Amino acid sequence: MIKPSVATDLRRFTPEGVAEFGRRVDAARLSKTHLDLNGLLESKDLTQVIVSQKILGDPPSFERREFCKYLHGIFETNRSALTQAKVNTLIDGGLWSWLAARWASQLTSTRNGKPFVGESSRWIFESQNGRRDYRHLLASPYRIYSKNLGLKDGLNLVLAGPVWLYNEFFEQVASRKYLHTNPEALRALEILYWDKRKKKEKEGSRAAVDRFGVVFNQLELTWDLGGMTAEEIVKLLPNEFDAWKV
Amino acid sequence: MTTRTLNYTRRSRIELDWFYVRTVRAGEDLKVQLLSFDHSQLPGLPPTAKVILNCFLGRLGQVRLECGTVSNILTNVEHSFWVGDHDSIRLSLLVRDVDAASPGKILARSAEVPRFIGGGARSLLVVKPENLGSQVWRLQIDEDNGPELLINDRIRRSKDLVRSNEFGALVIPEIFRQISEWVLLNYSQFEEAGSVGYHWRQMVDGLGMDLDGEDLSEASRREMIAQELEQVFAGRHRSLEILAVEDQEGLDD
Repeated sequence: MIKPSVATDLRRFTPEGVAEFGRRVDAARLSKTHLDLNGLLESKDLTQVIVSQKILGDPPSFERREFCKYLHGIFETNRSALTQAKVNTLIDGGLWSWLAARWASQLTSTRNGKPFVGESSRWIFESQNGRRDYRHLLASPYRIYSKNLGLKDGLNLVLAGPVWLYNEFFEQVASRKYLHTNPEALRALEILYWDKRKKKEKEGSRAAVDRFGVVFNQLELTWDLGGMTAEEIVKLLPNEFDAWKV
Repeated sequence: MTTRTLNYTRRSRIELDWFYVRTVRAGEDLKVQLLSFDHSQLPGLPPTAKVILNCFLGRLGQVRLECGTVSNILTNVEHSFWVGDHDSIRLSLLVRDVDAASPGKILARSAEVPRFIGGGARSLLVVKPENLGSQVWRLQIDEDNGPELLINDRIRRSKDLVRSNEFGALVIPEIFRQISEWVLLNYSQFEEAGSVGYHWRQMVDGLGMDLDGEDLSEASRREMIAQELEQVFAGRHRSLEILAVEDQEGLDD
């Protein structure tokens, strides 16, 4: 396994590489051990080099926002190489699965003292699978980050915490396709649940945020939410949200 | 027992054959243009209400295309944007209120349809395989169904033929010229919404030629205008844009 501190080139898995990585994820999950990546990350048969220079070091942090910022910088600096290799950074399953493998040791948390790998969709990015694609540890936060680059406020709640740690705000937003790409909806979420003064989420908001997702979906049937401001969206919310509006 | 559906949103439904959308794949980009929208079936819509074409890009979100207002629908505006994965694209047309009392309320909406399937995204020009003897193609204008492009059913891989640059550059402009003549001949008749001719007239009008005051009863004048329209069409559009080959049934892959 490549040590995290060693910078590597940028690669992606071939379809065979994705399949092999999937088998190793399943094996690690069942045996509750660390992922075995021997011979995988730099395999000539199972990976394709996108940028041959050693550009990929350790990100400054695995906090969602910081990590996305780091990766975005890498992608932008190497945009021509990515284009040449026909890699679409928003949907390329081989790229994201390889990146997850690349940082596997940092992304594997522990439960009851044993390595916790979790379900394969956390590692294998299935961009065509609308029910599972948002579960990917790296691709899903990056998609939200890159789709809302110009947003000043709106990502404080959603991109909080390390990528491997469950975040209710992230879960609600990432799993709803019309929510995570609507910057005004993300701002509405912050108007309700972000404490500007303390610069942290309002107390109790984690338990309440699932209602926002449910009501948002309901309002979508009647209102053109994609064309409304955050303030207009908040105004539409029913009485149960009044306590959060203050 | 009778079952009733309660439409609590008071929102009207836009049927898929009331609007036509042209979609063209250009690498990872998609070009989209609302060609026509027959809203005469929804007489209660305020003239100031906004017409929006929503393009849903699967998990990558949605792109909203502002297509003017009910009283001034912009059919000559082409929108181009990155989509990445073309297979996941779905389209939906909606009309939203701008009234101060309920800004953003959806007054009417169509179902979401895949880009190549269903009325809202279907090809304006129907292509059919037909026994044409030694002829490769023929344009047939049916009174009810409008123009239909017939392709010799003995041609193998006819989809590739219709998609080819040669066909787009040489044949489609001529087809468009013939259709334009038909539109000009029936110009005033096609003013009334709801027919195939209406949608073709919208396409012709969208090219921006001023036909006010033209005497369209003269065949020679119609021919001349049709030639001009063909040139404008060929200069502005990639010719294959008026038909979505993937949507055509019966053509050989």
